[in-house]
Amino acid sequence: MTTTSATPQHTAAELFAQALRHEHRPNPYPHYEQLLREPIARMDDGNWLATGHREISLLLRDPRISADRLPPPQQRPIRKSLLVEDPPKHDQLRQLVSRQFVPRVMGMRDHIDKLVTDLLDAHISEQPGHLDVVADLAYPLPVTVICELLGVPREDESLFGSLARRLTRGLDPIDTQTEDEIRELQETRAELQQYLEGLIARHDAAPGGDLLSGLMHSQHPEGPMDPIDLRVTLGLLLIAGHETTVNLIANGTLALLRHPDALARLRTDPDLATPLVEEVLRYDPPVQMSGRSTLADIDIAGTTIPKGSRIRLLLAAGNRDPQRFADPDRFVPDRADNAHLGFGGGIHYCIGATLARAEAQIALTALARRLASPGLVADPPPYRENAILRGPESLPVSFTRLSPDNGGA
Amino acid sequence: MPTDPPPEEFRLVVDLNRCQSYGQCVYAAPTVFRFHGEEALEYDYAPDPRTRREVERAAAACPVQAILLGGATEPAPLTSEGAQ
Amino acid sequence: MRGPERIVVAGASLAGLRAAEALRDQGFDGELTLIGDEPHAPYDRPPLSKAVLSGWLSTDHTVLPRVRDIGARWLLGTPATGVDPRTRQVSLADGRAVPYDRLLIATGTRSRPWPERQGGALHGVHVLRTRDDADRLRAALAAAPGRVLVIGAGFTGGEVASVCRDLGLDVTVTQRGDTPLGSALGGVIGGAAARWYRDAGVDLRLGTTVRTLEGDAHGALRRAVLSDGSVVEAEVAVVAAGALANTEWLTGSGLAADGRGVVCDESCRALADDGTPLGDVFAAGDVARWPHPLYPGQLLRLDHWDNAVAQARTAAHNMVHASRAPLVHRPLPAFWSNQFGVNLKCVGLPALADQVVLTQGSLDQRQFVAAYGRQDRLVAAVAVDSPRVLDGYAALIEAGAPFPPVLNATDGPDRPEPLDPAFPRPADPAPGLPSVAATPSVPSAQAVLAGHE
Repeated sequence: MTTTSATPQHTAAELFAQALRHEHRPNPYPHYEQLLREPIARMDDGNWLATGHREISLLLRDPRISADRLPPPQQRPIRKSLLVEDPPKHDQLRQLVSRQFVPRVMGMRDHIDKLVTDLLDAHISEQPGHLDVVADLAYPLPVTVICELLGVPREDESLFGSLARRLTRGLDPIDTQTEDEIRELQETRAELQQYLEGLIARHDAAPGGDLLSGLMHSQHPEGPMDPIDLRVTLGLLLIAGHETTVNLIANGTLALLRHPDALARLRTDPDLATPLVEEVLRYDPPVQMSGRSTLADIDIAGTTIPKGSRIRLLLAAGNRDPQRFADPDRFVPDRADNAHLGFGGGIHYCIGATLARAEAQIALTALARRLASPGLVADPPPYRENAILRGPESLPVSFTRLSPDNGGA
Repeated sequence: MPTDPPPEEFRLVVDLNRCQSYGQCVYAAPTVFRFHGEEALEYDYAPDPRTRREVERAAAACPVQAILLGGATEPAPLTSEGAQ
Repeated sequence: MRGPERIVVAGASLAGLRAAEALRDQGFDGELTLIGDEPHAPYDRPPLSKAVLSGWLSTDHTVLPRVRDIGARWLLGTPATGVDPRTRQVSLADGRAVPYDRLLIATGTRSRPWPERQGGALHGVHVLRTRDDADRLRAALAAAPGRVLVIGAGFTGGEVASVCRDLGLDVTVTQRGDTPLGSALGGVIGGAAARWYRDAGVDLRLGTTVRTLEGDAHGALRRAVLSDGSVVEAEVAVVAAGALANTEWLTGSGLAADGRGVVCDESCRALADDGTPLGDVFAAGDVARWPHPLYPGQLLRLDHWDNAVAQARTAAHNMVHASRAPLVHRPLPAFWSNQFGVNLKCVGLPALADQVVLTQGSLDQRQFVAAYGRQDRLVAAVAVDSPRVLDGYAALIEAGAPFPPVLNATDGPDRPEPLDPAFPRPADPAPGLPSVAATPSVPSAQAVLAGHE
């Protein structure tokens, strides 16, 4: 590898800071590409950054890794969620949730299809017209689904949505937050807890067939969940349901509109949606990075990450690693052997992956089939502030015609 | 509605050394893949041809890409061929 | 330099099929012949002792997918009976001769049968290696025998016993050693496995062998007399006592081959019995024994699925590209087993170890990882119902990490306590199992990895 003397060599920390700047939100990938030259890098603040596909994959599966991101003591939550909890507690919580979650999700494709149809039908009178794919489809679809699954009443959705948006900010790298932001975050957390307590009380009084009722009345040897775990887990599922699939659908739409050949193929071949969504998860993943800490010294990629270090795993960079993916910057809708890191890996692999896939496959297929001559109104579209759960703020799309749903393929 | 021609038979195999029991295949194609206990995967190498779309979803969703679908077009070797 | 024009692959199972496909991938466009002793298209063996026996899959649902067209001539149901490396011809049981420019030996192994004089010919005495074996045993289990006797608590024996319990059948398992899986994983982990057997309701007889199998007037199995003099009434017996390499057909060929396998070098070239590699005969899969660069001083034979696939690819590459530097076959050994509702996965070679330490979970909880060390280096790891952390251990083994590894796993013990892994003593190998001319202090990896004592 050579460095040209014309361009000054940037440190990993500088490159990462660049990638995080809001002006680079539409396309952080050139920065990631430079970071990939050093698959494991030590940052100026003593934290570490992993960008290589192999390195991230190994770290995600390493027993010397904790999911605890080690926030400063004053910012520690009262109880850790699944996301940042370690075995054995993690395994017990995850099993309880997955037993309730997975069976409810497995038969949902037809229902999701109906929701997508209804959301698009609302715009059928506009010929030609505009659609904000975020506000009109990508956001309401997963939110409706997760609220139905969990047993959140429809009328609470908007309250909940605003809580989720405010809380998501708390996931961004801690060092980018001001004290005011931290205080607001804590207040939002308290509001969420209060809301969830009320929700749990209502479900206690009148249990239903939803996941929350299932968790509260589980007959499993590990269950039912204790009340604090229940609130923390619910909060996690709700926020994840609000903030991730939205970006997957929006990023997928964006990729389709920028690659008209892929869009044309999906229009006539709905089976293409299966590999295509995996490629979106690789090419432009809704969760750009994750965090871990080390429980012991770890020798990796010719360096040693000391015990007690914080590591940021740049999943979206690993997805563009030329050591793992041929032609990594190309969007290949039917890419084979696509072992992307879009849902993470190891014991924390995204519990909602099946649901997210189904929602994205169905939504993108419907868009491709029903919109005639779709076009991006702004390219790039405006992006949300968040660098971790990254996606467009809005995605206005013009079309000449929105055809009625004909029952699909 | 026009009826599709009968789907063609297909076969698959899972590299169970590579498999880490994420369960994505079980969720995508529950009649083809299943767990025996918490982590022990079992599957049908020659499932009902009508499950093809589900199995393709399962193969695409596997986080470690351990599911291999057949790609041969020549007929299966069923009987011994005589010498020339 | 011209490549070969005629390639013969002897053995039409996993290794043979994948080798044939790899030969075409490597650009071989000459005449390709696959020879198989069984009349079936290549199928996968692991499900035979699990989903097939349980009745979930029929054996025609175990046929392997073919990943590409190979345009081969298939000679199935016609065992190879000999090879003449000088005239470059393989002879078949039906009298035909098939000429080759390159030959791949991938004839695998078979189950070690029960000696006839001890009752091995009785109706109701089974082995489990082939599709036809599985069909016969499945039918016998479906007939609801009063008790099944499984001889040997290795991987196959455990899987068979586990299915029998799932089917509600009474089952007795005899095991020569002190625990199940002892020669493969040692007595510490084997002790945990013994609890799986007993929790499932298996009548497990440790330190016990079968003296004779006895039948009735019609030649049907009725009972077994054990080494402690006790008698087990059983109508079905499954002999799970290890494997023998299918090498008889190589007798007199001048190749270095015996019941332990075909000796080849690290680039899969078969050796003549004077130790020189042949340029036109190769070996891959369960039948091959070779000097693995990671484990000097011995010849390794791995009954492992992914070894068959990987070695077949390496051999195919080296068969087609004689003028290039040969690829070396040096995989990290890996295998798995599903029994008694748990998934067991292993990387490295536990049998080499002089120490074992529990690193995650607990032996009683059916969810744990144990690391094996030899001379203060990590050499293997076994993960029970913990498949998502094993890659981390594999990387440590490949890097030659120290033992005991410093992990501080959150589900690990407060203080690691390395133990003697309690392998059967090398000086006291299981009778009947050949040992390898290897470093004397190292247990025979070949005997151990065959593993189904």
